[in-house]
This record gives sequence, structure tokens and C-alpha cells, in this order.
Amino acid sequence: MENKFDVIVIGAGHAGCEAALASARMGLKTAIVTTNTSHIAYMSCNPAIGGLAKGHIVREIDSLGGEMAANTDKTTIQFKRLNTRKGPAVRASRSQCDKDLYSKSMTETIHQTKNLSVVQAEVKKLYVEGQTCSGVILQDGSKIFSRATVITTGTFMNGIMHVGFQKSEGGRVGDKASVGLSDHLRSLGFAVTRFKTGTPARLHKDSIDWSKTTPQPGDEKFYPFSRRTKGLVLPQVNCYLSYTNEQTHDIIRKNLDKSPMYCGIIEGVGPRYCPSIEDKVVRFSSKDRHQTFLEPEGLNSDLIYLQGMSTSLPADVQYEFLKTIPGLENVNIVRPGYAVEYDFVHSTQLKKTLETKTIQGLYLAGQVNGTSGYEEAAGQGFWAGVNAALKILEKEPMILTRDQAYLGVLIDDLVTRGTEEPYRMFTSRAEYRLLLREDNTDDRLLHEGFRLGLIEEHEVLGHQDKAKTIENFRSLLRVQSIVPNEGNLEKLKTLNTAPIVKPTTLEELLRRPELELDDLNHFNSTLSIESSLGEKVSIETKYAGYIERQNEIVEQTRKLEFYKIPGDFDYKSVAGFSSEEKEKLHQLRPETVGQASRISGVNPSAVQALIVRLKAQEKQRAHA
Amino acid sequence: MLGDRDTIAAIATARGLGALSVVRISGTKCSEILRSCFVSKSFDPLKSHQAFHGYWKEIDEVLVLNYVSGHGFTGESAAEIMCHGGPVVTNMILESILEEGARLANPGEFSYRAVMNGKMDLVQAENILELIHSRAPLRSKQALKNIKGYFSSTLDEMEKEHIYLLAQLEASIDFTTEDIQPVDQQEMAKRVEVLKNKTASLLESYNRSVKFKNGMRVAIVGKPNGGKSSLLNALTGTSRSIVTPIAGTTRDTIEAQILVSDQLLTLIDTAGLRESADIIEKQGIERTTEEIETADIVVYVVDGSVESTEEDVRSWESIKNPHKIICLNKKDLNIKNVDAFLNFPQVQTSCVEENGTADLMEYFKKEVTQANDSQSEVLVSTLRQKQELEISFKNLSATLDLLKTSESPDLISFELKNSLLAIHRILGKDLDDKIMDKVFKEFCIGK
Repeated sequence: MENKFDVIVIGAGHAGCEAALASARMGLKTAIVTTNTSHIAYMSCNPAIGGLAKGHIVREIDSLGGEMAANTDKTTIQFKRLNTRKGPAVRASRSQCDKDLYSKSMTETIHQTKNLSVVQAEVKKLYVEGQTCSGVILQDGSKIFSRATVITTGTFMNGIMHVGFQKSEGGRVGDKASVGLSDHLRSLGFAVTRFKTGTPARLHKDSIDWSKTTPQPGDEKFYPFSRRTKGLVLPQVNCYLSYTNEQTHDIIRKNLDKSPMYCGIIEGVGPRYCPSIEDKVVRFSSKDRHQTFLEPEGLNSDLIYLQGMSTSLPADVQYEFLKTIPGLENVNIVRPGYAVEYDFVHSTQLKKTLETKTIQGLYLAGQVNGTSGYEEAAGQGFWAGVNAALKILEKEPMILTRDQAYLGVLIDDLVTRGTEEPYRMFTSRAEYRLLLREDNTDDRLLHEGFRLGLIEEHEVLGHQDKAKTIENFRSLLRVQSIVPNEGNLEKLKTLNTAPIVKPTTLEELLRRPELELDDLNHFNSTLSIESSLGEKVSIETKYAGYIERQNEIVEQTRKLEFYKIPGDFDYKSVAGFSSEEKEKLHQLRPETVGQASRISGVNPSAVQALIVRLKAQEKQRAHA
Repeated sequence: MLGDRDTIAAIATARGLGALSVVRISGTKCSEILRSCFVSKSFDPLKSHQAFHGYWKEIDEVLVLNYVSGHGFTGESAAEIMCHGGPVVTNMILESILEEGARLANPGEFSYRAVMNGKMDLVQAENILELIHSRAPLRSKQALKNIKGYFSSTLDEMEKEHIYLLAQLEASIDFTTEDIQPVDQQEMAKRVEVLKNKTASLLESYNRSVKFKNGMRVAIVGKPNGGKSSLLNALTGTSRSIVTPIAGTTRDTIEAQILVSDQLLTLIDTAGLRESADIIEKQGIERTTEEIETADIVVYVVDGSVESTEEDVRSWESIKNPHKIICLNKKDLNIKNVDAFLNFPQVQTSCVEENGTADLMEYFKKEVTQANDSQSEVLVSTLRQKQELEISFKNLSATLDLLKTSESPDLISFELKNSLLAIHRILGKDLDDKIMDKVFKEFCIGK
């Protein structure tokens, strides 16, 4: 076996795959080390990719040249666009995927990628010389050398699964835990603590009485995640909806003493946005029912994923309460739900490139950084893989800002604020939400993907053509106007919109919330634009005012954002900081004032003090 | 120690001769300094908010007020040393403290530290300044109220309401596939309306605060030679608390301030009221008209010793300000024109008699009391606070418009969040994760 690589990626989950693919595609000799090569890009929990803010991330990865979007499109068995009736910034795509095919397709891509080797082995330790990581040490004691190492071990570090009071080691059913690596990280000085997450039971599809559930079909129209996708490949399926009831809740309440969560056996902090059904019943006792979606795990799979019903109650109790749910009276549980506790590394110990602050050449990405979700993991993996490669290639790192991408928000949150529960992306985390839309990821990121060498020139040119078409069309709308004559007033009336009193441009008409681009055809039948571009025209026209205001705010904060703090800045000498602030700033060493301002516990007044001090230092230097 | 904060000291009382002076210390070295400089049998550094008697080195006999860390005005360990007044002693005490490793405090640094340590918010700190600079007891009362947190708690409530509403909006965006029911937009519109009205009344209170600060304006108007100037002199002369006679403001009017019932009144001697062709006088009259419109009280002075004309009555009637009174001056010379103004509110004054303006002062008192009762309390006291509230108001109005046309929650949230940010800027607070915390508290969410 070869034992020298540029980049080693430990783990072949969603983060690991993106990291390895990005690095290999950027021309670096890359190895992906996993304990189980048949579970590459495995979807451990729900069978879906995307959703609010997550769908945005998937598209961003695509615009930068990552793989998740294309792989999702290829294996989609149901597509939905969420929030279609809400503003464009919060519309998001969600695909349900065939789990097996998702994994198979990604595995194929990895095997076909030049410069990329897959190694089946367990990493026990990092090979650290001084303050530099130069490879990994495997279970058998052998070493593999590298110039950069990316850890993407997910929930596998010291993973313990709980079903009732039964405990077993593992990061997911069927795969063993990774023992030793997190202790090793501790010994290198990293703060490592425990989180918890959970997954619901998987049911056999033939044991379900579908007639008692409500079918939930996907959308008619498919908006592929990837710019490269032409259309759907797989046949589409339904999901099904059912509800718990008081009887279900009674059973759960009666058996709380058998839940490891409620008996203090599980110490890890779990995500508030993904509570177990036990939690829901206890915390929201006034709700008389909770919804659950029955989601097929694949076209040829017998497994049904029971969304919303994650639990760590014993298997017999799971049977008992599931049988009270309409459609599940004779249910057959193939695999009971369980909770997983695992070690994660505090992400504030990382730089913006996801390289650790203390050990050179060591990167961390994915759930190991305390996040949750396939998309968040993939995004970080891509980010770390790209930055590891850029560093080796001696190029400028890829640092996306908060107004540029959800990925920018994700990484900034992780490295400056850290997280106290498994971190999930929400659109509300993005203060510049109106700018970060699914429809404009190419505008925002394609040029960066091109710089990385992951996006081809013809793609950039193609995008520029589209942008030009849109601009031309918009200027057409700006110059063409209609007059308040009888015919036009009649048309406006049939469109249920207010009459006009003076000549009005088509752009002004389109700004009216009740009018869509198609409606303009009543006034000028020669208007025509490809429908995907038409949507952008409509968005950019309708929300121009908001986008402009948001841009102004970005400009204001950008000044702070790029106000650099020297690496050796002495926080102790600034009079205006509280002890807590000094300690936090000293420890976290923010690179810019903007970053400092987002550290929790650092008051706005301290940020002012910091700016005053930095300015004073600049003056001194100028005089010196 | 990591994050050690340096220790500051300053003389807290006014310079110059006085019976007592106070020197303040704050910071980690405080107790160390007390140990080495303060000689006292009873001193116990662990007792907070207690005064100890003793001697400050060989310098003076002093009382030391001790504050244990976390309990003092700055949130740090601190002390106030009361010594005998006089610049020499006070300076010597300060120097001895600086020698022990403290540094001279920058202006406002004690309050600044208090804000930073969460002992008070920005609004409270600003009100301390207000209190210090207050020239009228009523104003200081209001400032004290705000130091105690009156305005801040109003803002806190508004913040909470914002966060509640934002949580509803965010839940409807980020958890659209969940089985949750955020408050509907109609109900939201109602609640935003309430917030908007609250903000409006806060903004109004700023005008009131300006009155506290600069005094209620009393325009003294009337024909030339009606005795306006002598009335102003009489009022300031008989009032024992002349505050400042300001002559020759940019308006070419004479202003003087007096205290009536703890409230500052600014008396304005205006140009005479009459039709004039003279361009300069015309400008003066225009200014007078403006003063009449904006004044809190208008005193229409007529020479009581001569018969009034119909023109006099017309010009009295032309004063649109409801807070107006006729002042029949020169009552010492036999009042002659009682009839003309019989049906209007009036007082009689004399500028030469002792207490000749007593009735007018009585009228002022009534007006002051009424104004203080009828208007909302002063909460907003600085221009900074007012400007932020104006931003908040604008965003709330936009929020309301969007709610009424059932626009998308992301746009509504954009406006509402900007309003919240303005409130946070007033208080010097961070947004943090309050909105999401609220979402998880309010809604049962789980994939």
C-alpha cells in the first residue's frame, strides 16, 4: 500500500467525501480512510437532503464545485420545494433520496476520481511532530504520511448507542465506534465533550396499513440542486402522514423511567430542534397529537423511516406506542430507534479555514465539530478539503463571508461562537438572509469555484450569458410602459390589480405583489424568457428595494468585518474590557473586529474600545 | 492573572475648597491599596456597602465606603474615600493611590465599567449624566427614575415583544413542514400596532425632555412699549432663583430662565406685535409668530393704564396657542381697560410694586403642574435615544404595512428585526440567539 499522500481524509461520510473529492480534483494526491468502505456517504438518519437553509447549502456546494447536489439529484425519489408561497429568500428545496443508491453513486464517483485512493482501516492516532500533523497511525501501527489531514469522523468517536438501558458501542447501527482518536485529541490539548442525537425506528413497509395514512406526493416541478443536472432519473414515490394520539402519549409517559434520557444515563446535550418523541410529549403536554411522516428509504428498500419519532425507549415500549398510531396497528419494527452519544471537538479551536489553531496541517469538519445534518457536514468537508489543498498549493484560502453564503455563516458561527447543542443551520441564522437565496448561488459563488479549479470555464461563461439575458430583459421592462387607456385598464381589472393613472413601466407593474411575469404578456405578447430565468427576473425586480437596503447594511458592517486585528494584539492592555471579555478574546484570537463582535459575551461597548485601541495603534505606527 | 483589569482612581467631587471631598477607586487592586494606605481598627474588606473610620496614611482623617467585587457601582471591588475638602489634601490622597499602582480614570470611566460589567445599561448611564447636568429638580427626578431602570424596563418589555413576534415569524419560515401554528398575521398586526404606538409616545416624551432640559418656553408678546421687557425683568428679579439670563440669542430675542415649581421656564421677550413695513422689524415679527406657535405659554402683555383698541383684541384673538393669558400690566397706574378683555383669562401685574407679578407666577405654577400631569413621563432623554427610536418607529410602520398586505414573513422579519436592533443599540445589547431560544420554547419542533 502506498503510504504517502498530500491529503488524508479520515472518515467517508458526507463531510469526508466532499473533502476528499475537492482535494483530489484540485490535483492533490488524496486518501480517504474509512473503517467500512461499503458505507461511503451513508445516510445514517433520515432519507432526505435539503430543506430550509440546508437546501441553500447544497446549492452553494454545487456552485463551488462540490458533489452533494449532483449526487442528490441522481438519487431523488421525491422532490419538494418548501415555502413556495413565501419570499424567494426562504424558498428551499428538499429531496428524498434512495439511501442505497445515494451511497452507491457517491462511492462510484469517488472510485472514478483521479488522485483519490480509498483505504479501509481504522485511524488510532495522528502522527504529530512538534506542532505539525504529518499523517496518521493505523490500528496495526503502520503510518500513512500526509501534508494535511482532515478528520471527519462524525458521531463515531467514542460513540455509544442507547436503546432503553441497553448500551452498545458504535456510531450507527452496523458500524463500530472509533475508540482512541478522541482521547488522542484530548492529549493534544483539544477540548472534547459529548453530544447526543437520536434516530427513530425503521419499519417494514409490508406491515403498514397505508389506507389509514394520508399520501404526501412530491411536487410536479423539479428544480435540480445541481446546475449540471438535466432532469430526474429515478421514479418518484409518495410519503405518508399519520399522527400520534393521547393513547400513544400515555404509553410514553408511563415508560419515561425506561428512557435513558430521563434517567440521567445520557449526559450529552441533544439538539432542541430535533427532540425525541419522549421530549415532545413531556414538554408540550397540551398538544394532543404529533405528526409523523412515513418515508420510504429507497425504491427497493423494505424500510420505512418514521420522521418525527426519534426515541431511545426500549424496543418493547417502542412497539407498544407505535401500534397506537393509525396504520401501524400491526407494525413490524426492523430496527428500533436509538440515541447516540458521541465526542465532539469544540469548534472554537479552529481557524476560519477549519485548520486547528494549535496543530498545523490538521483540519476538522462535519459532525465532529458539533454540527448536525448531512448538508452542514458536507459543506464543512468541502471547505476543509479545499483549504487544505489551497494551503499545500500555497494559494489564498477560501473564506466566504456571512453576506456571501450560508457556508460563510456556518463556519463563522462555528469558529467564533462555537455551539452548545448540535448545530443546525436555519435561515434565521443568516442576518443577510435576503441576499442568500437558492436562486442566486451561482451569482454568489461560481467565480470562487472557478478560482478553485472545480468549476469549468464554459460553466462560468454560460452563467454570464444567462446573467446578460436577465439584465437585457430587465432593461426591457424598465423602458416599456403602458398608458391608462381603456384597454389597459380593463386588463388590469381582470388581473385583479389597481388601475394606473399615468404611464407605467412594466417593471413598476411587476413590483406589485399580486402580479407575476406571465401577467405582463397581456400588455406585451412579445415578452419571452426561459422560465428559470424568468423567475429570477421576477425576484430581482420585486425585491430590489429590500436587496438594496440589505446591501447597504452589508457595506456598513463590512468596514468592521475587514478591520484586521494583529495576531499579537494584547487584549490584556485594553482598559475597556471586562475580565470575561479579555479571556474570551485572548483565547479565541478573532482575526477581524467583525468576528470579535460576534463572540458571545463580548459587549458592543468592548468592540468600540477595541476599535479605539486599534486606531490608536495605527496612528502610533504611522508616526513611528 | 489572565484578564486582569487595571485599577482606576479619581477625585469625584468638584475641585476647590469644600468641607468634604471624595476620592474613588475601582479595580482589582482596590483592597490591596486600602490595606496599605488605610489605617483603621474596624476595617473589614469583606463587608460591602459599609463605612469605616480611620486615617489615610499620614494625610487625613477619613471615612472609607467599601464595596466588595460584584456589589459596587462599577461591579468591581471599589471604594469611596471621604476626606476633608481642599485641593491639597485631596490631591495627596489621590497621588498616594496612584503610587500604589492605580491609574487616573478617564472621564466617565467609572460609569463605563458599570455598563460593561452589566451593572447598568447605556440608558441608565446616560441618565446619570442627565442627573449630573440637571438644572431643574423635576428633571433630576426623572433622570433618577431612569437610573433605577424605569426607561430600560420599558425597552426590555418592547424587546421581549419583538422577540416574541420574531419567533413567530421565524418559526413559520424555518419550520414550515412542522405541525405548528404561529400567531396569525392579523393578531400580529395588532401587536405591532401597540408597539408602534408605544414607540410614538416615547418619541413624544423626548419633546417633553427637551422642555425639562431647556425649560418650558414662555413667549411674552404684545405691542411695543407695553412693558414686556420690564415684565421680564420683574419676573426674573422677583423670582429668587434666576438661573441664567441669556441675552442676544440668534433670534434677537431676550431669554431668561426662572424656576417655577421645580421646573425651568424660559421667558422670551419677543419683538413687538404690529403690522410693519420695516423689513427688519417684519422679520422680528415673523419670529414672534413662530415663538407663539411653539411656546408652551403665551403671555400677552397690554398696558393696562390705557384703553385697548379693537386691534388689540384682534391680535389677542389671533394667538392660536391655547395656553395663553392676558397680562394687564402697570396696574399701579389704575387699570383702565377692564372691559375690552373682560371675557378672557387675565392677570394684573405691576413691575414696580413689591410682588407685583405674584398673580402671573401663580398662573405659571398652574400651567406647570398641569403640563406635568397631562403629559407622559420623560423617558427618552438624549438625541441618540430619540434617533434610534425613530428608526424603530419607521421599521415598525413598514412591518405593519407588510402585515396588512400579508407579505412574506422574511420581509416582515427584515423590518421587525431592524426595529429590534435599534432598541438593542439604545440599551447597548446584543441580539445573540434570543429569537431561536424563543422558537424552541414556544413550539414543538422536531424532524
